[in-house]
Amino acid sequence: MLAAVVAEKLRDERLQAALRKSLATVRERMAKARERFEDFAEARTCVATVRQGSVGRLRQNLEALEQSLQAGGTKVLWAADAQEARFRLAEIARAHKVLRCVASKTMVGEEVGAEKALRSAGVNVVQTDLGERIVQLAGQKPSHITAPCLHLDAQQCGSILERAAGMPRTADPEEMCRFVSRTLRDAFATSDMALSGANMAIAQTGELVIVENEGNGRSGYTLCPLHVVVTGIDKVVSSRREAAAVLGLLAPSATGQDVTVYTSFLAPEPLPGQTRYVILVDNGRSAVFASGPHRELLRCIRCGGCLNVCPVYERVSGHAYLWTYSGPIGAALAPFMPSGDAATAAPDLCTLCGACDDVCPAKIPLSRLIALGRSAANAARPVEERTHLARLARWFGRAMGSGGAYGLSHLGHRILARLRGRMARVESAVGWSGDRLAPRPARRLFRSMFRAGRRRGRLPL
Amino acid sequence: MRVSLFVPCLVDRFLPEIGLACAKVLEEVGCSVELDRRQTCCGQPPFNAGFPAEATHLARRMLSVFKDAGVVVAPSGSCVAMVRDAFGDLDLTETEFAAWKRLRERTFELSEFLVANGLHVRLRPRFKARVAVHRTCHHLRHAGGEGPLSEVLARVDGMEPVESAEARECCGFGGVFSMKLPELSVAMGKRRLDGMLALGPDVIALADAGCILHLRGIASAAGIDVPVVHYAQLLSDTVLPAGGRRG
Repeated sequence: MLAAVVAEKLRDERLQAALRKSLATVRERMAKARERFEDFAEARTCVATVRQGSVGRLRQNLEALEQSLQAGGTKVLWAADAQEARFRLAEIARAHKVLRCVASKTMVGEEVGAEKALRSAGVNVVQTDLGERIVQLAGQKPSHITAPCLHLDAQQCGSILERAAGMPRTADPEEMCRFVSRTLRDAFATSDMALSGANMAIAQTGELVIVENEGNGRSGYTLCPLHVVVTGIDKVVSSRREAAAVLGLLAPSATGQDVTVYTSFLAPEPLPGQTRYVILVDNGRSAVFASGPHRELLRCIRCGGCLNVCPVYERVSGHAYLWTYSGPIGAALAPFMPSGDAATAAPDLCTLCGACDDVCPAKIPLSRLIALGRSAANAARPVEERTHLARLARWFGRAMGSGGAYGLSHLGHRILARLRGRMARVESAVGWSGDRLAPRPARRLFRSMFRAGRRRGRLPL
Repeated sequence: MRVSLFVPCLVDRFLPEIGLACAKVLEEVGCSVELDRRQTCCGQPPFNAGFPAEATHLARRMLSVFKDAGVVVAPSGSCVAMVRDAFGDLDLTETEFAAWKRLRERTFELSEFLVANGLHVRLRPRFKARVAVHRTCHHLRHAGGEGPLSEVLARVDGMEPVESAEARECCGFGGVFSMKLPELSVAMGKRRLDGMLALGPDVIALADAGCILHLRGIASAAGIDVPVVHYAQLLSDTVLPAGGRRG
C-alpha cells in the first residue's frame, strides 16, 4: 500500500516541482536564520534542556496548568483520546448553541478530527489560515505541520480559490491572502465560536502561547464569544522563561523567520463576556511518555523543521505518511500513537540519514528513534507480513551468525547468481532490478584474498 | 601501530577491492594490519529493519571477536556508526555493555583514524582526475565528519575534488529502505547522481559500500560509465578505468 502511494507521488511531476521549490526556499531561509544567531548550538541546547525538563515534570506541570487556567476562569477539559476530544467539542458546541465557527491552525484539532466533530454537531466550520482554507476548500488534508498546502503550487492554490470561492484568477500568494481575508471578514463577525490550538501552555501562569503570521487566529478569538483551544498535553511548559526559550527557535526552525508576525500570550482570564475552554488531549502521548527512549519525542515543539530538511519528505510530501504528522517526527511518533496504517507505514519512510537530527531545535535524536520504533512497527504489522519479515531477519541472523554459515551463504549466493532466471526473481523481489542493477557477489571474499595475500607476502592489488 | 580491520560484510562479499585498498593504505602509513576472520556482520541490517534481537545477537559476536583487538578501523561510516552509537541501544548485559564502551573508544573510520594520528601525511597518492565527492550520511554525522575525509583527499596529488551543493544530501540507499521502497530509493539516487554528473567528474568517490552499490547499480542501469568508488581506492591508487573489472 505504501509503495503504491509513494509511486503515485513520485509520478506527480507538479508535486515534485512544488515540493522541491518550496523546500529549497525554506531550507535557505532556515540556514540564514541560524546564521543570525550568535550561538545557535547553545540556543538548541537550551531548548532541548528546557523541553526535557518540561517533559520530566509533565504530571506536575499539567496539574499546575489546570489550576492556573481554572483560577483565571478558563474551563479545562481532558480528553484521553480523539473520540473523547470530539465528544467534548460537540458537547460544547451544543451547550453554547454554536452555529458558526472560525478555526485557526491546529494540528491537534486535525489529529482528533475537530472539524468533523463540530460539523456533526451542526456547526459550519471555516478554516481561516490561508493554507488551511485552501486545503479545506479542496477537500484535502494539510500536508505539513506548519505549511498546510506545501504540496500545491501557487497556480493550483489560485485555481482552488477561483473554483471554490470565486476569486479572480491569480497565482500571487499576496493577492490570495488579501482575497481570503476579505471573504473571512464576514465569518469572523458572525461566528459564535473560535477554535484554535496552542503552541504552548504555561503551567505557572496559565497563559496560552499562540504564534501565527496572518493574524486570523487573533481575529477569531478576540471577536467570538466562545473560544475553544485544543492542544496536546505535551505542549505544557513550566514557566514564561521556558516559553521564551522555545519561542526563540520556533520560527527560525519552522519558516526561517526570527519571530512570527504575531506572538500572543493569552491570559487565563477570558475576555469580558467570553467563555474559554481548553481541551487537553492525550491521544497516545502517555504511551509515548511510557515507551522508554521514545519519551524524547514529547520534546517536539511542532516547528516542522525536520520535514523541511528531510530528503524523503521532499519526494513524497506529507500525505504519504498516512496520518496527521508527517516527515521524521511523524515517522517516529506513528508506532506509538493511534495512527492507523501509519503505525507500520510511516517508519519505513526514512533512510536514517540524520538530516533531521542536525536541525531539530529540541535536539530529538529522530533518526535513532525512528530506527528503534521500527520494532514496534513490525509488531503491529498484519500477521503474514510480520512473519515474513521475521523469517528474513532470522535467516539473516543465521547466515551471519557463525563463520561457517557466513562462508556458505556467500557460496550459495554465488551459485544462485549463476542461475540467471532465479537470481533475477530474487533481485526483483528485493527491489534491486530495472533502474538499479543488483551487484554480483565477488568471486572471492575479501578475507580469503587477504589471507592469500599474506601468504604470498603482498596484497593482491 | 597494530590495526585490526573491521570489514563491512558488503565489502567482504561484493566489493573486496575496497578492503584491499583500505589494507594497502594502512600498510603504507606504517600500520601492521590484522584481520580476524571470525568477524561477520555488525548487525546493522536487522537493527535498521526493526529486529533488535537479531542485531543484538550479531553485536555480541562483534564484541567478542574484537575483545582483545587494539585499534579497530573500518572503511565505512555506517558500520562505525552502528558500533559507536547503535550498540548502546541493544539489549546487552552489563559485561557486554562494558565491552562495548571499550570497543567504541577504539573503533574508527579510516579517514578519521588516519587524520587523528597524523598518518595521512605519509600518503603520497597520485591520481590525476576530477573527483566528485559525495558525503555519506553516517560518515558525516557519526564517524569522522567532513574534515578528515577532505584532509585525506587533499593528499592526493593531481586530484581535483568537486562537490555540489547537495553533496551532503542522502543518496537514498538507507539499507532496508532500498529494498522496501525501491522506486523512491532509486529516485533519490538518480537525483544525487545527476547532481554529481553535472560537475563533469572522471570518478565519483564516497565512504560507504552500501551507497556505492546503490549508486553504481543506478549508474550501470542507465549506461553511465563514471566509476563510483571508495575513497580508499583513490588513496591506494587502485581505481580501475571506466568499465574495468578486477579479476
